[in-house]
Amino acid sequence: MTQSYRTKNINSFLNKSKVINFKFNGKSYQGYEGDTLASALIANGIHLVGRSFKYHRPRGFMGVGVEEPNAMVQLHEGDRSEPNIIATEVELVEGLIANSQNCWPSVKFDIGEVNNLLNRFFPAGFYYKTFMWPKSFWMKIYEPIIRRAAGMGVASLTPDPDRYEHNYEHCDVLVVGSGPSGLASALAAANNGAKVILAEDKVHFGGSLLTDEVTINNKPGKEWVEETIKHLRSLPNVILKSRSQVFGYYDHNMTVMFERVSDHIENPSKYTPRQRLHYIRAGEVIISTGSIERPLSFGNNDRPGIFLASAANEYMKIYETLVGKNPIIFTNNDTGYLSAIEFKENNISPLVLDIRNSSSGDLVKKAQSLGIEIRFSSGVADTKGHLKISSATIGKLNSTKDSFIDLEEVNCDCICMSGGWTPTVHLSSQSGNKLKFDKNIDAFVPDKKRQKETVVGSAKGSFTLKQSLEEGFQVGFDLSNLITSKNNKIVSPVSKEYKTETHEKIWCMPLPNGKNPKRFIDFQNDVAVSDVELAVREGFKSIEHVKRYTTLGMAGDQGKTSNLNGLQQVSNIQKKIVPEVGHTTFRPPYTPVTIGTLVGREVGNHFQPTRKTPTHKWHDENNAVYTNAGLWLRPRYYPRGNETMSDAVNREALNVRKNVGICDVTSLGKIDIKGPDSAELLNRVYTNAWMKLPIGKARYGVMLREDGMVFDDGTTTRLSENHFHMTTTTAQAANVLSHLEFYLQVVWPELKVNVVSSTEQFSGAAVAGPKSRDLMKKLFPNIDFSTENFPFMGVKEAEIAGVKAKIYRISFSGELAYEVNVDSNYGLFMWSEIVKAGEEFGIQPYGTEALATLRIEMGHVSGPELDGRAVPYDIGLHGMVSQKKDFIGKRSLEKSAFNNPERQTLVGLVPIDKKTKIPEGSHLVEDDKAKLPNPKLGHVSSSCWSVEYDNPFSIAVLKDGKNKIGKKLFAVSPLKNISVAVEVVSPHYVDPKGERVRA
Amino acid sequence: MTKQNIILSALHNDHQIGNFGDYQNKEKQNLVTVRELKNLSIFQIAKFKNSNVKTDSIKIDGLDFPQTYQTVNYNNETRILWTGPDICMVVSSDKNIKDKIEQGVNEEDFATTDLSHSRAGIEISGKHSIDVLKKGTPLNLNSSEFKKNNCANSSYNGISFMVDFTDDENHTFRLFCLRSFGGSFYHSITDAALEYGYVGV
Repeated sequence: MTQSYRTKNINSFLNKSKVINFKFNGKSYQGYEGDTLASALIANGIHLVGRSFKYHRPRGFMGVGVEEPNAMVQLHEGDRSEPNIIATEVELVEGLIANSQNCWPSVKFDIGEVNNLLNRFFPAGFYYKTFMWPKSFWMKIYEPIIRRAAGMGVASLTPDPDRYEHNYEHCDVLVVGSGPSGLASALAAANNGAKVILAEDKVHFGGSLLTDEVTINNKPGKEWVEETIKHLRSLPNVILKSRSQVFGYYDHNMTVMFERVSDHIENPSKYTPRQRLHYIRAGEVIISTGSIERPLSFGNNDRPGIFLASAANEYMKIYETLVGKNPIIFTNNDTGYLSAIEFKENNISPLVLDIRNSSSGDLVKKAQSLGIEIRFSSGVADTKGHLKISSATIGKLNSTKDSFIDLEEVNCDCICMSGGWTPTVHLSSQSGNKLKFDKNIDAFVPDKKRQKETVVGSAKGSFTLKQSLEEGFQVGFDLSNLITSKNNKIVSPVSKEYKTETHEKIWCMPLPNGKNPKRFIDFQNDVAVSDVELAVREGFKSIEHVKRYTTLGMAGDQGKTSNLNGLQQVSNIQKKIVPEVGHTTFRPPYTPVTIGTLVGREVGNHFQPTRKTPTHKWHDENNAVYTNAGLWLRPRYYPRGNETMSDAVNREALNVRKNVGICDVTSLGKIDIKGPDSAELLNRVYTNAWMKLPIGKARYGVMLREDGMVFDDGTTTRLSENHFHMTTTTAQAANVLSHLEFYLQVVWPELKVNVVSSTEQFSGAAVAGPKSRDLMKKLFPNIDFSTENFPFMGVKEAEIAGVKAKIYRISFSGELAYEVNVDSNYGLFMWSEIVKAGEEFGIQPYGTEALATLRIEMGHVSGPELDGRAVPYDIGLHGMVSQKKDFIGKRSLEKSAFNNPERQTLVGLVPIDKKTKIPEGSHLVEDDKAKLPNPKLGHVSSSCWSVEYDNPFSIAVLKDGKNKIGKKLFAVSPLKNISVAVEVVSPHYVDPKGERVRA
Repeated sequence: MTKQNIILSALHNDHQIGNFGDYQNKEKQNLVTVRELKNLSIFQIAKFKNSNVKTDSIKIDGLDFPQTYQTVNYNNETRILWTGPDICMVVSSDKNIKDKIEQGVNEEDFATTDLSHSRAGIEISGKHSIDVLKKGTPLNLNSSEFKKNNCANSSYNGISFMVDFTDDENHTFRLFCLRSFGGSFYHSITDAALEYGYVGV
């Protein structure tokens, strides 16, 4: 199809030497470099783009940029397929594929349009009143239908192949928007030495200067823009960002900006991000976001071919594209005439309908001088044309302009409407700025600011070029001077523009006699005047309630074109002035942002950081299956051949019981404690005594919170008089360090102690099992490993092939065990040496699952038992609590509730049948057949398959547990629908006297 | 077997030599250079809270104890980085630095902790090195705020790290993170550098 709607505007931004091929709804079209998808489609005469959200009405383009509420398309195919993309924001690239959305089987014939025929049954809030009966219909009929109808486009089900990046920027002055006030602000601030970022959503800087008939310093606006941008580009303190939308304004002057980096590039490198999210922390933010033209409400004002007048003008001037060849311009102000004049200059004669009685503005005079037909006190009542507008019912308005005097139908192929201008206050509102209503422009403008932001130009209602430039230069200088104090000021240039007259305060046309066509306010959400009337009639008086009942101004559009018309309508119905009605809340993002951009590079392997031990590669090579312990990747088990997890875990655990095993314990928290008062610190944070711990000895300790609950446990070794090495659980390492830091800095600053994490400094291997001593003797022949010389909780310094090591005789498995620590660079070497030397003893690595089995059998508590609800008495640690000294949590232990003999305490459980595994988390009850609520006596905290006795075993906390040993209970898991008959036994199922660790 | 043969540095399994990302058709000086920092001695020196000693009188290897935030005092082998009030990090290639520290500070007033094996170190340089950093850290790296011989603690894509700006001609930064995070940190840095092209050396 030829591009039959092109003008011959040689000053446009199109590169006509480069033809771009693209497809829309399966058909091939051509456009030019510089086109948007919207301009290229319009140039090809395509106006029908999609179907509306609720009624599936045919919809086309209305705007030319971010304000576009209708023209959302499904962009690309396959992995890159993306729904709800605004066609006016899509730059045309070779091979672009776009499709209409929210329609079936096609955009021209959409079954969903039946909703439009039945629209009287689907008014605002219909879903609150329907689907109530019959009740049984909800799950099988209503909900599936609603789910199918929900949404507009279709998201890709496969991973997005593109790259997205984040970037952090800091600047003195961020200028948002590059219209006249934005450019002036940036120029003034940059010239005064400030570090400036200038952000522009569109491809080209300049805003309205690119289309308005104005001069600055006797040069056309567009030329002044080019010179200014060239100058700014040459300055090292300026970052210019086009295709970049600042969409959110948060506390502490933090803004976020979305940059389209390579969407417009035909074949970008795979390493070039598609889009980039910038976090910009600015000293000062200048908001020069301009204003958006206000639509007018009249019958069937949503048909394809009905545009904002400024959009029509921009299509002609920037994109050499005619939105129609038989236009009606419908306006309540002078600026609507700009498009009329532009049509005329392209040899097309428009008909202008002006709601006002008269105007003597410059643009009106120029239109008259060009011979353009103008009808004052007139308006559009209704339109016709199914898939595109074909005619309009127009007429003269009566003196009060609440009805038409006469009506006639005229043919047209487009209507360009203008209801004046609405300042874009979204960002300033997001920053916390309180808005005020300016009755001169009939719009809300920023008022009292909460952060370091200043609004300039038409975003604050300064609609003349002179005002915009003066404000921009002044604010740019003032704010930059606060930072640089350089006093380099630029004088605002001389400008020339058309003088305009005031607008008519009418935005909604009366209904034609005897008819009741939809007069839309919010095009994206299918909200019409009748919906707002209904909401108010039904008692929704607050504008926030009206918004939620009707969906006015919600979702991606955020009310860019609908907000004020909606407020105005409520104001008319409630007979209040608009400021009394108030306004709704603007929320980020101002424009839709892709999920990919929000996520950035935090996908795949970068989803979250992981922590690895120095021996990780060995674990990989030995088929380790990992578990996440915090961020640590810890070997969970090492399957061999076709082993299941259960097989592998039992083999590993049994090997520790019978021979010797090796476990990577590097991730256990380690804290280096130094200073003359180190022992005193330990004495205060642990429940047991520490002052007399000999050098070279370790001791098990339990820490409590101030409320008396067990916080963490571990062993701490005295390396010298004033130097201790503390270990913590992997999960609580950071919390314990913070705990100690808090007390040292806030509660006990008098203590001469310093604590620092040394977790990463040492690589640790636990060597456990009855043959561990023999293995250690082989590895360290110079050390006497006899119990007399190296007892349980002893510590020795040693060397392994010249590498210094520390050997701790400690055990979590309950077996005879040693823990060897070396500097991390030697971790893999140490591990390999132990494994090599251990071959003759049958050494095998064991993971966290086997470790859990071993400690559960022994009744050693861990995370599931130390769940923040246990005091030492509950879990058999009362022997650890000193009665002689003070420690954190001591006074809390005196609470009567903590000394109630019926508290839940630690017990062991064995299934009666010795076969059925007991699910962790199961409730313990006396009668599993009892009626609900069945009194819960406790719960199962940890379960394993006892390799010692070859049957399931669990530990649990049970009400009055000690006195229930030998009793039969039931472990009930409603989640798994399992009930297991269990016998209560001692939690120390294996080696209850602890003889093995002391062997 | 000698000690050197059995040492595995923090990034031994991660750092790769060669050209990566968008390096083609670009001048070498425009690429980011990525190098693993190895064999450095790293010590934290912290003054006890109630010590009366003034750190401004302390000298370590002839260098002052840093007194203000971001400060790095340095000589050819040693850099002392401010990490907090009366706390610093000594990073040195001097094999005798431990002795020199012990000469400078006493055990009664200071805790000195060897953290040499607990950190992974990466050095990045090239004109885009700052762009690589900006992709992950919220630090203000503008030249007016972060200059040569400045340091800071921050996070990069969720990983805590310390940055030391060593050279503003080649735009060289030393980056240190906890050893266990080294792999993730390295891959996050190099992934960010792909856009500009990088050389692993």
